[in-house]
Amino acid sequence: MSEAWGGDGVRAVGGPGPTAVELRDLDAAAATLGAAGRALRGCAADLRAVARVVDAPRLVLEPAPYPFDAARAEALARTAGSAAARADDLVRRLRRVVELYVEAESWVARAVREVVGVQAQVAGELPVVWAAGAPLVPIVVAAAAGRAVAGDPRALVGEQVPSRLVGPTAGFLRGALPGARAPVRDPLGALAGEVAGGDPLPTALVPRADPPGLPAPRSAADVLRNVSASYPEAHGGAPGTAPSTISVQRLTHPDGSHGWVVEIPGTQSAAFGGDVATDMTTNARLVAGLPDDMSSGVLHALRDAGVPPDEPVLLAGHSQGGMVAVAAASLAAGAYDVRAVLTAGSPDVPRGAPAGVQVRHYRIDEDLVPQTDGRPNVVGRDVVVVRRSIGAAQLPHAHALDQYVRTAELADSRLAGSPALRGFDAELARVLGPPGTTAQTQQFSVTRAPDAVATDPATGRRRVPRADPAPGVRSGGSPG
Amino acid sequence: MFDDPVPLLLSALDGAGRARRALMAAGAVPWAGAVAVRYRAEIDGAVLEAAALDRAVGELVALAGCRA
Repeated sequence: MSEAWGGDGVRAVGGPGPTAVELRDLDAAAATLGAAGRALRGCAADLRAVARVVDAPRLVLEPAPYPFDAARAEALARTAGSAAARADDLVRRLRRVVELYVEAESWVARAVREVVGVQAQVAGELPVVWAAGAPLVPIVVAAAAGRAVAGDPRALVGEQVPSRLVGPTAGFLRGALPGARAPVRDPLGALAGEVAGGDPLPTALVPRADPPGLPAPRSAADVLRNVSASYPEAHGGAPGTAPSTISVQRLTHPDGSHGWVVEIPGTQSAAFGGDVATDMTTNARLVAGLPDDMSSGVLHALRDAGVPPDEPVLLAGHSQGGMVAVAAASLAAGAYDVRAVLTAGSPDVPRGAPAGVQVRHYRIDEDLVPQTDGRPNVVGRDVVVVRRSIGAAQLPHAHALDQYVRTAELADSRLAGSPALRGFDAELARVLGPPGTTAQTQQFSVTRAPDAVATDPATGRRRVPRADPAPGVRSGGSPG
Repeated sequence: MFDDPVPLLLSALDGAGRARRALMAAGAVPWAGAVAVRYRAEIDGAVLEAAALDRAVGELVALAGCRA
């Protein structure tokens, strides 16, 4: 193993790794290696003592000198000492592997989470128990934190406490809605479906006439910088960028081959059902696993940008944009060669990327947004979560894209070569190409503005109503 | 004898032997995959190093014994 784990609070969870059974063996091996290190340190101490004895002045009547000198014992002591240090280092790295892979949620924890969610739904259905249960809320909060409420409340975010409260809260709210509902395993998705269900509103995909020339990305951090440039100026992006803009970059490698990078920004409106597609309706529909305007917009952007089915594609997004990237990867299966998905500060969505697509999620411990899915990180052979702690004091800035750019940079420098990151890095390199690669950028905005939906702003001609959903899109949402 | 190095050498020999056996046990973990290959390579190197140390300390013990 290499020095691939840890440093600056950045760590990776998931990827190809040992099984649960092997983890126990690895834990035992680490303990045995620790014993080896201790034995070697004792050996080194004994040999240094031997050197001192051999080197000591001797009396006249003593027998002949020892047939070896102190330097020889000292050299062996150094050998034993360095071997002990290497064994200790191996123990440290082995422990790190074990820690990384035991972070996955056990079936017991999952069962407890689901039972609590069901109980909250039942409690929501029974107003008579609300008053009786109210005094328990602070106790539940403290218990979920595993610590006293008297501590710094900001630290609870870093400990993922909000994530544990989302499911029960959603279950309670769903149960409290008028009418009786049967408890479900995913109360958050069910609640989101009730809030934003039904057919999506008509949308239009509007190409930008003068897109900026975003630089050819050379790393995951560069891709996230281009995601940042896809926001409107009011949200920290580039001037002249319309809301809900999707950037599509065609990368031309020095050998003439191509890769494609799609950069998707996050939520830009707190409204439900307004003109801006990157709104709370899209958030709720993504959480509920329903077709949404931005994911189908990405598919139409791929089509309008001329992405061929056999050239590698990377989908990347921040916040809601990351959820869209994952959902769009699912929709694109069979139509486009999506090789990798990159998200920053995004919750998990029910519709995961297809098997074989390399997914990397960057998540900062103190960021509330990724915790709104109400479940532990979903990881697997192809799905890796790179986490970083920035401290409770940074809570207000934890969701900022520049924090995630820094996280990606740290992961590249601190976790380089880690087995957990190798699969994604290989696909990223395949899409981004070698030095000398150039980029052409197109941008498309997804809008629900009635004028844009009815009339093509580029030609001034009325759009023909179309019913050609993006591949895999089940109903509605057909940006034209 | 007050400053006899032999007990120290025997203790060092015992430590080197225990370290070698512990390293061999740690290398027997049933773990597969690319990471495991690198892990075993490191363990194998450490076992060889501990075995060489064991032999070298043993030689010192033998030399000290001859002198006594």
